[in-house]
Amino acid sequence: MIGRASSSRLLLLLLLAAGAMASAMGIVASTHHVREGYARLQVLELERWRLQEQYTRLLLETNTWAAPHRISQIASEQLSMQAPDLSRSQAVAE
Amino acid sequence: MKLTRPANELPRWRFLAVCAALLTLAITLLGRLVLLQVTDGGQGAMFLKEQGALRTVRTAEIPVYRGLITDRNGTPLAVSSPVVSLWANPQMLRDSPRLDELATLLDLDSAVLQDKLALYAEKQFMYLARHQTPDFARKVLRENIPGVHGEREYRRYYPAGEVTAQVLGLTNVDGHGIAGVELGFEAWLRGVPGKKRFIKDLHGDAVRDFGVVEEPSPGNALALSLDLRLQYAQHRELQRAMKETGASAGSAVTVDAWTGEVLAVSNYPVFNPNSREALDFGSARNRALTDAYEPGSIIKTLTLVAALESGQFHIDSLVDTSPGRIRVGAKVLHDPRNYGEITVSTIIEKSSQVGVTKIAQAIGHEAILDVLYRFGLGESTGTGFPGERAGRLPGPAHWSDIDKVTLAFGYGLTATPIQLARAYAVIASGGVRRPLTLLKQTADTPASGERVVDDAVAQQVLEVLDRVTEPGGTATLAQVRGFSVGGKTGTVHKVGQGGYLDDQYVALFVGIAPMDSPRYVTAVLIDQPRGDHYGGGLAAAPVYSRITEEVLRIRNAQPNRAGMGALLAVSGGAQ
Repeated sequence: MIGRASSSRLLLLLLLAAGAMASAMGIVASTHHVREGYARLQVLELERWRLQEQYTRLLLETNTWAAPHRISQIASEQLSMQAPDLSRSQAVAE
Repeated sequence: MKLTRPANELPRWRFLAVCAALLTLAITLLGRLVLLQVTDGGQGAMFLKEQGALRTVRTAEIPVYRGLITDRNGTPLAVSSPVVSLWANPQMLRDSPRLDELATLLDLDSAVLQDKLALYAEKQFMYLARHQTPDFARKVLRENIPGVHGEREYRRYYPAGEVTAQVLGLTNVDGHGIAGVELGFEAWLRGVPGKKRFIKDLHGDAVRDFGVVEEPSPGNALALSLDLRLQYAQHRELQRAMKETGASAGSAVTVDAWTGEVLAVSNYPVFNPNSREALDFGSARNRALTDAYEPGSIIKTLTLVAALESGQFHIDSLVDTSPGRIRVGAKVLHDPRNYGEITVSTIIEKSSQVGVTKIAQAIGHEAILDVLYRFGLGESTGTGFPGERAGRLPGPAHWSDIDKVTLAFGYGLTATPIQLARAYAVIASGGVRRPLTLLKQTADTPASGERVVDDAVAQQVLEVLDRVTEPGGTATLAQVRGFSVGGKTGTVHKVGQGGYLDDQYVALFVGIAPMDSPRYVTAVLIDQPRGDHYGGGLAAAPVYSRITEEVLRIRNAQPNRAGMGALLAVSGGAQ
């Protein structure tokens, strides 16, 4: 009687010990995952920052090239363009 | 055997006393431990955690960008661009052997850097150089000079520069709006910076990150009602007029009478918003909205509205203006010459003082004042622009005979150019007053508004305004080829010390186009034009003409048939 009771208690103890071990390992693993994930996040954040940097730079560049005064200057000076005189325009019936 | 206590044995009570004392100590210690670790008394667990955190845990701000401001077509007008501010810990940098190297990198004089370090010797933070380009900052940070760090920030750039400077306004170095749209829509544009927590070590480097505590939320984008192409054209024409007339200041504003949208607004003098070093706040003012002037003859149009509403006058009623002058109280008002008996319409076309005075005396100043109120003078136009002025209408207090008539031709009250544009927009939209807005409206259809004048009256006024730009009117220079436009000139004496100045003027023109489908209202104000071309008809009307030509072209208005080539029929086009 006594032997069976103590063996079942031993089993329970072992089970609990194994469970505790498993959860400890789990914590180690998940902490590792978090670290990895966080490192990746930081890399991505850096990437985002860099891309944003590039985006605004390109945006400003596009707008500098497309600035109305630059367009009108090129149109009139380099391309010899001019707004058509009204007498040379025709109305198109819709 | 009798139990006898050994002679050297201690009494039992002493043993118990020692036990009790030790136990008390243990319990005290345990109690204190519980108090510190578990409960939250004044100096309990929370207190200790906080104190610990204070020494190691840092909260860093995650910078967010400010909302993008675009024009109505999506062209960016204000862009937040990532920059890096270089900062240093003076206590670490003070004795650094690489100080000269750093000074060279930053293009600073070594002595200046030394002085700055001495100034902040007690601190742990000082800026070395704010808002540097990321490339430059990277170059400096790559040198790994101990105590030198970089902080990410955003800086506002204005691609259109001075063309949109006064409307957009400015942000300060910390990215908060301090003027113009940037200030007016601050809550919408401003992002909420996020927060992240981390543990720092002795050197201030992050060793463990707790992650993001508050997600950053960037500012919202804002689409303005401005059209950059039009804004640019208006700006160019105003600059040209300033050069030609030698004026000291000027404003132009174009509004869409259907939607209440402000399509363009420019001012002179201007400033470059991308360079703060030479910022002069006088030129940062959006004068078209913030500066109120006496509008002069521009108001005669509204007097005409009051005259027509009174029922005493039609546009063809005859008024005798001979002998070309009229005495009111102690003052004598003159016309340039004796016009004789002319119609009400001609009075406006010629801007006859005598004629307007007679009309004003007939209908009374209350009727005129009422029209001025209904056309939105003396109240804000509703743009929400910071610092917008509402002008001033005379109060009910005391009216002398001369006050009663000068009101009819625009003296004794003040209005901003945008208010004048709005008042004429009421006429353009057939008598409906709408609030003006700087924001893009989604619908291209007439917005809801408040009817303040009968459509029939507005149509008659439009007819008269049309004639002002025709041969014989005061503003033939306002004409636009291919379109019929209407408007009214104003030439106002400036007020100086001791009253009105004889040789300093403000030239005004407010016009509506195209007349067959009135929609675009432009007000032009030239402050102190020099030379002979000082009047509204000579100084301001040509500017109006050139601006309106661009307005109609950019907004795809249909030219009227006159002056155009033949009507081209497209076969199969209209089925």
